[in-house]
Amino acid sequence: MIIVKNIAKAYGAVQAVKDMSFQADDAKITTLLGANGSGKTTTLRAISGLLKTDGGNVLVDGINVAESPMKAQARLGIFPDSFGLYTRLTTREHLAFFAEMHGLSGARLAAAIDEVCEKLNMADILDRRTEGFSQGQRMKVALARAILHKPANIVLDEPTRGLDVMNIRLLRRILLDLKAAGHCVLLSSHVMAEVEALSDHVVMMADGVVCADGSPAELVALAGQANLEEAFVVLTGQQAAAERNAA
Amino acid sequence: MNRMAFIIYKKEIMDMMRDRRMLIATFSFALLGPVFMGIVFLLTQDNEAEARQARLALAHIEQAPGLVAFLEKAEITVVAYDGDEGPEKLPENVDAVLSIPADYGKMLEDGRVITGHLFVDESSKIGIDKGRQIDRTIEAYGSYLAGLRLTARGVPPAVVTPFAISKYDLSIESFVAQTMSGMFLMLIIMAPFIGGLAVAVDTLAGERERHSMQSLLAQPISPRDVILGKLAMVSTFSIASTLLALSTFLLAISFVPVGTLPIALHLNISTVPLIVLQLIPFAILIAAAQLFISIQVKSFKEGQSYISMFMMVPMFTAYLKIFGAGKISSSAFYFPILVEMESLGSLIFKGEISASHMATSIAIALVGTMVFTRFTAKKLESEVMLDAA
Repeated sequence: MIIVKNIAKAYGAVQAVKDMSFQADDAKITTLLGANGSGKTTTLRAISGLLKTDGGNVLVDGINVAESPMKAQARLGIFPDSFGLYTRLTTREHLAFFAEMHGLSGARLAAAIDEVCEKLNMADILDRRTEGFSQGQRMKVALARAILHKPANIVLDEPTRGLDVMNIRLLRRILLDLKAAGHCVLLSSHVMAEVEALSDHVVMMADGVVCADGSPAELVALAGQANLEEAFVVLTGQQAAAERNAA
Repeated sequence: MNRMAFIIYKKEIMDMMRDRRMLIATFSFALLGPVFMGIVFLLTQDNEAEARQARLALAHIEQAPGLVAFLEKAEITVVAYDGDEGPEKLPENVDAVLSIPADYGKMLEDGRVITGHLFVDESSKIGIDKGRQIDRTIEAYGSYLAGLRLTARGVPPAVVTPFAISKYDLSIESFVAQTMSGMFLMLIIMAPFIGGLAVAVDTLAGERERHSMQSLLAQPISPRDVILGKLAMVSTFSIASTLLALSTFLLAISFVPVGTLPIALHLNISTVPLIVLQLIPFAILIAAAQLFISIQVKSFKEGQSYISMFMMVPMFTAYLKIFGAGKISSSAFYFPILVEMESLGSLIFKGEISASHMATSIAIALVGTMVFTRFTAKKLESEVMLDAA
């Protein structure tokens, strides 16, 4: 479970996240939904222990990320906004490297690689160097890297970007399987169809704050609109108007 | 090294060993540099020329038996020169040509002033040395003759020679030997700089550029362990490059004929381990410094520019030692790089341990490595590491 309490983060004069609070429960898929520049990546980086917030707390399974980042990271599987693969390593070597940092070794490590390879249908690329991989193949490696050590919490930053339909469907299936297995899945997206189809809980963001929070159906009802996309426009628009009035 | 740092080290070594271009860049200097030096040694081996006697070609040699005897007593070989005119260039294996009048013997008997012409070639150090030796000997012969003439006229020679000065060369080594030894030390000192250059840039600046830094930093590993693992990898390449340069040099030098080197090398079972002991901490220090530079930049290209500039430090320092050794204060030889050169020079060329230089060098390496590593690890904690070029 991930709890974000009143976090704020500024980059110089730019206030990326102002006062962000939400909770991502186990066995649920929680999505941060927001336009580009709304603060999704900053929030996910704060959860991953990659940056220090100016205020507030992030708790991963009760562990304060700011106080014990490595303990929190041991309970996280991160799928970052860039795949960032080592192109001179094979997929297997790549996965082994990251799994070893999570304490896996020997037969356990080999079994974990075999399992994730089967799950993601990546036997054909397991012993190939990652240089020249397609976007879909790169996604598979990055996702395998994030879930190999079976973390309780999986954080994905816009995981479907650049993927074709087949790979999006594969990713969706994997995320649903993780949810079914009781994992806390937190992702960011701005693709409405994907959010609506996948999410149990949506956290709508605009200008670094949460403007609405609930299930897709609840948000549609709250906005009095026909679908999530219209609800998003209305709810984030209200937030923008409130910001302008406050200014 | 702890387990986490070792995981990083293992991966880094595997990653770097697969980059052929990087391996070529890393080891080409270590392989070719010493071979180049060996060739330079072969080309500049003047000892043979230096060891043989100076040779003077004398025109009208039959006229001057006294001069010939005097020159030969001064270990100058005198051969006949066929011709009255001065040469345009010196004959082969001759260091000077002396032209004297055809009636030299008669003029000597008459006690007249004899005008001669000495032709030398000062385009090389050997030419300068041999030419001056001949010139000085002829001058000495002139003084000797003057003394005889004065004595014959009842004047003590001491009247016209108030000073009798003997000159002694106190320089420890010849210019050639000094340059050669300096170049050899520069080669050894440069090896860790070149050995670690490409891998140091790739492992941090390259990692940022490839966007893999974010994935790495999101794992449960401390920045300190990441840097320790990467430092161990860069140090491995630096040390390997340095030891390879040393070994290749020893191999290259074995092809140079014994006794013809302008410098004496004390590379034996007792000095080589000490040289290695001295070089390992130095190579680690350079690796730590290169990582410190690499973490300041966002891309491989930017990193290469800065680390290439860093390469000028050992180069200029080595030139300072080669050409300015006598002009800089002895305390300057306790500064980084100079202290390594001084200590290594003592071991390699004298076969002696300079304890103060060696201890200073190792202490600087240890403290410097700790400082650079600490600052590099601190920088890795910074959020700017998430930004790529």
